[in-house]
Amino acid sequence: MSSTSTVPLRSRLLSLALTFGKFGGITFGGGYAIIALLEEELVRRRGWLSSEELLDIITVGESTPGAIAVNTATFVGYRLAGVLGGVVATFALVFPAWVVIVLLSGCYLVLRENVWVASALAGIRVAAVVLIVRAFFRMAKGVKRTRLNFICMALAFGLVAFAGMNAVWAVIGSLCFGVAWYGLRPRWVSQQSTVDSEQGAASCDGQTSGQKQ
Amino acid sequence: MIYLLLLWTFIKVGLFTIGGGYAMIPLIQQEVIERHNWMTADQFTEFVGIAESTPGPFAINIATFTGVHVAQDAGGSGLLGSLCTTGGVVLPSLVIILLIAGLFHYAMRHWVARAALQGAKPVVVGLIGAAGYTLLRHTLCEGGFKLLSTGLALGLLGLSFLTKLGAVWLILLGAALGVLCFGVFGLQP
Repeated sequence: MSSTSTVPLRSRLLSLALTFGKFGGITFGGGYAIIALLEEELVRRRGWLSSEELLDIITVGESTPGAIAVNTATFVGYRLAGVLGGVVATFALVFPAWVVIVLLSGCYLVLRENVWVASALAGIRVAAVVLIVRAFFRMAKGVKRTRLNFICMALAFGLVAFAGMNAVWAVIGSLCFGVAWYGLRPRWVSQQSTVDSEQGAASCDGQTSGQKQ
Repeated sequence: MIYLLLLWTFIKVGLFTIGGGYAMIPLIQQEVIERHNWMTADQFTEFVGIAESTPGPFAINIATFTGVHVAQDAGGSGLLGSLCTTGGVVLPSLVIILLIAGLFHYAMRHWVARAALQGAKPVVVGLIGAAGYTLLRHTLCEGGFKLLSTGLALGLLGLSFLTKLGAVWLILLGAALGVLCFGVFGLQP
């Protein structure tokens, strides 16, 4: 923060708008693609954030609801220029993508009956499903291999794919389960075994942070 | 009121997406195809492909696309529809991040937040798997088993694992193969 406080608010907002507008217009896929650019632009070139601050921001961006790129933009904007900065950075990130898609969806609606476009779209459908399947395998790799995690994953898969359960409830249920099983249970157990509860909390935090790596 | 419904639907999607872009797919798929019948599974899969191969965050692209399409289908303004969906998907992020950043700087380090996320992680992966399974079944088996498409899917999957090919290139390759197989040679899908 200290390195930016000498720069007037208006020029900070302008820089935020230009930087995130650029990111919104040139990155594909969002999320992690944007993080590399942020590191380059804000940490190395401008020196507005330390890489430690950026890492903090990314962690928050990953673990709060919504798109990671949007969360990161909002947080960086806030850090550099307050609430207005957060709004400006988010808006700038979203705007180019919005314009492109609005224009493109006009073409899509007109062209999709065309034989060539229709056959290209049939190929795109296959590729898109492949991407989702690939995303599943990639993200599954990031989950710690415990029996409990496997059961939770299989249960969510089965209930949503075959029993038509609402995905929102699956997410809410998993959040509650996480608090109960990984949060409250170790604390309760450590209280039962008359170990100092402070120590129990510390060991649990150590364990969860170890899994984050 | 289609606009309010779109706004509300995508606020929900934004709020319950944990883990970014792809985690949004199962939520949107359920809301848009199964619950409201706003579009077919074919169209949704096409949108996913197009959203992946256009600049900008995936979540924003798919939300905008859905908004334009649904509002136009309902006889409204696509522009206004896309403002509702894109705004809706961003709004929870904006509010939550500004609250967290302003009020409790280290909320994310709190044990409750950590435990909750630890519980959500495998479930989010399972949900993406469910979306993948549903769309895969639809794309390859709807109206009879599609042998050529299945072959293409296996080929592209193998390629993406072997070469780490980017999403944009995979989509473009899919489009080229589609034109070649279904357009030029007129093969059955």
